Amino acid sequence: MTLLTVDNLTLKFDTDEGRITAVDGVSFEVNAGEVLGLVGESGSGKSVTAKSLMKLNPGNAIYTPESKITLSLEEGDVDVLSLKGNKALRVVRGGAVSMIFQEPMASFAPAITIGAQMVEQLMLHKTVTKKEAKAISVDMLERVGISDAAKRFDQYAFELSGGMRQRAMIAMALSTNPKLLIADEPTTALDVTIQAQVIDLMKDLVAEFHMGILFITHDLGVIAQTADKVAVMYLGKVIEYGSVREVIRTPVHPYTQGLINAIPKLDDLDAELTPIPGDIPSPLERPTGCVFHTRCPIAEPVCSQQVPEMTAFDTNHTAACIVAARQRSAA
Amino acid sequence: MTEKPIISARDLSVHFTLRGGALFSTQTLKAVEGVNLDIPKGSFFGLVGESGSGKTTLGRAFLKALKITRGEARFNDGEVDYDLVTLPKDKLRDYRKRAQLIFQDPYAALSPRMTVRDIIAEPLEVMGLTSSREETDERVREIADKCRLNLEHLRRFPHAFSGGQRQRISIARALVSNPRFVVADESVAALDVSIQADILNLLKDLQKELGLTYLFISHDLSVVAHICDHVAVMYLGRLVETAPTRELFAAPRHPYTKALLSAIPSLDPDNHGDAQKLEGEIPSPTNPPSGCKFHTRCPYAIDICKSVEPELAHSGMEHEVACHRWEELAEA
Ligand SMILES: Nc1ncnc2c1ncn2[C@@H]1O[C@H](COP(=O)(O)OP(=O)(O)OP(=O)(O)O)[C@@H](O)[C@H]1O
Ligand SMILES: Nc1ncnc2c1ncn2[C@@H]1O[C@H](COP(=O)(O)OP(=O)(O)OP(=O)(O)O)[C@@H](O)[C@H]1O
Ligand code: SF4
Ligand code: SF4
Ligand SMILES: [Mg+2]
Ligand SMILES: [Mg+2]
Repeated sequence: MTLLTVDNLTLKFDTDEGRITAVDGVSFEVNAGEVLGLVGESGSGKSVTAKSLMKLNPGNAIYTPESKITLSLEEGDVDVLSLKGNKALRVVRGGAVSMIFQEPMASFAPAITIGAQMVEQLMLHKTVTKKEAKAISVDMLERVGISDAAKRFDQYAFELSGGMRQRAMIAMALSTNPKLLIADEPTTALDVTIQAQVIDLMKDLVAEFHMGILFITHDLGVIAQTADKVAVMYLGKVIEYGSVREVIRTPVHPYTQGLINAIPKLDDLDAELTPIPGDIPSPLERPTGCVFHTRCPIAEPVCSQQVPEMTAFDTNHTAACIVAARQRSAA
Repeated sequence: MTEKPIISARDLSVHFTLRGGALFSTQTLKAVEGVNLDIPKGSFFGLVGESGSGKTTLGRAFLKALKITRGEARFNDGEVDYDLVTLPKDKLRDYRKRAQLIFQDPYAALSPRMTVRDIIAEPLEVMGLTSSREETDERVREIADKCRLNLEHLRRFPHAFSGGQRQRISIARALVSNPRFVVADESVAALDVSIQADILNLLKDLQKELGLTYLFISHDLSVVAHICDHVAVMYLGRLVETAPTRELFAAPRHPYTKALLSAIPSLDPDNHGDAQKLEGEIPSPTNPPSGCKFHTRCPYAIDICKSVEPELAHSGMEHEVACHRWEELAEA
């Protein structure tokens, strides 16, 4: 069942240096019980895409009229970008949609205990008594693997270790029983052994609560281990989209191929590390045509003039590359 | 080993004194404790371990950027042989030239009003290594060229540069004094993967060209596996295993190294690792466990692990491991 449909999302920002396009015609879907990975390098537009789902972007953000984000709930469809006012927005801000961030300290107020914040959040979104809210919160802290949950409930975020804080944030995000969880780099600041624990936890939670998760990271290994589907972003565009197995094993877009070649792999220590030539262009100097043409090893003259469309390469696999599409139709 | 190591440490310890919770009370934090380590000349030596394990502190101790609490540290590049613990002030200046640090991001550390040329030239001027502006310019141009920066770049200000270019500036600045030993602390951690490979290849090329020895500090084991020829693994201030890279990755002996390797997420969606996942987190360094520092998380811990701290012992030619049970576990 489709839970979230993002259709042709285009988001621009007015800045001192001019209007920049941060997200350009992005479309994807997340089903209930499914993890969609959103991967891409710094500045590719992952976080602003995620924030759009909660309409959390600042005042200088402009959505084009074609942009549409639909959340399909039992009660009916929610047209997210048309929501106005705090009360109406609650459904996507902690109600049916919750978000966890890279830096858990940012989501906890420093002077309030973890428990008090969880209770406050619950009472805002659900009709529960304070006592019930506490019981739900302690239970959720236990569910995410926090020992001494009753004690932690009365502690402040700064008193917990990094991994514990991340768990507490996940517990808070899940306590309202959201249908969609947005996780923006939830493991990036963690050590690998703790990252492995958090990844396992998130997988268990999908199975248990049947949520949809949008999992944002720049680490393709993390995507391979957590996601069912993946969308690869470059300069505000989704350039390849499909099942994790297909995209990682048989990438068709030169950027995805380059990204995979640049990753040092433990099972092949003799492999040369191949960088993608050149640097990521500034958002103020977005290339014409295919946004990747300034760095693409197989670019042709047409690539700087024509914007490639998303083309199907398999049942669950699309990519936006003129040359790859031509080669496929010739084959 | 035919040649003397460029850096050698014996029982090297760096402790910090922290003010405790209660009034007038103090706590000792053993950031580096009893480290024995030889860094072969000309090697690309990796130092890995989780956050807070003491990697930066050890690197800074070798650069004489902090006070060594106990033990020995020597530097020998074939020209000079320095005892780093007792090095007199007049020799320190010479040592600064020979041992350098690559900053993570020079832009973050330096004045935005400095041009790239001035950023790279600063160490020469501070150390008084050149006698004229022409000589400085000549030297800056030479090293910039080796780091693949052109004349046009030198005239600009660093804020206009991408992450990869800034890192090249940072490398040029570290190498301008012609050091023999370079500490690269998380030098590619902030870079995107598509650019990271370019910087790693540059470091490797420079090593061959200039005959450098690196201490490459990183929490990314896959990067270390590809670039380093030797690796040392730290846990809570202790060295728990050192070996040539191939050997360490093919046959890790310490349970912590094994767990660290198996926690790296594989790019293969169907390979979920061999489930050696660790429970719990690194204990507080101000209140470390008794005996083997890893026993609170080690799946193989036995009674002796709780009381006796294992020493780093040879388990092969250049392979050393600090674990009571490594032989037993290697057989299993
Ligand atoms: N409020 C804003 N005003 C102007 N530009 C913005 C704003 N927020 C984001 N941007 C720009 O939008 C682009 C996308 O940013 P975003 O934070 O989504 O990247 P990201 O993919 O999450 O990167 P990272 O991996 O570094 O987190 C960037 O060029 C960024 O500078
Ligand atoms: N100047 C200092 N005063 C007090 N404690 C310090 C100081 N510098 C480091 N420490 C402590 O020493 C321990 C080791 O720190 P260090 O920075 O060497 O770790 P690291 O392995 O480099 O970690 P990371 O991967 O996070 O950079 C930590 O517990 C740290 O908090
Ligand atoms: S459209 Fe052209 S420039 Fe873009 S990825 Fe394909 S070949 Fe490269
Ligand atoms: S000494 Fe004991 S606790 Fe430490 S790593 Fe070896 S088996 Fe584990
Ligand atoms: Mg982001
Ligand atoms: Mg460090």
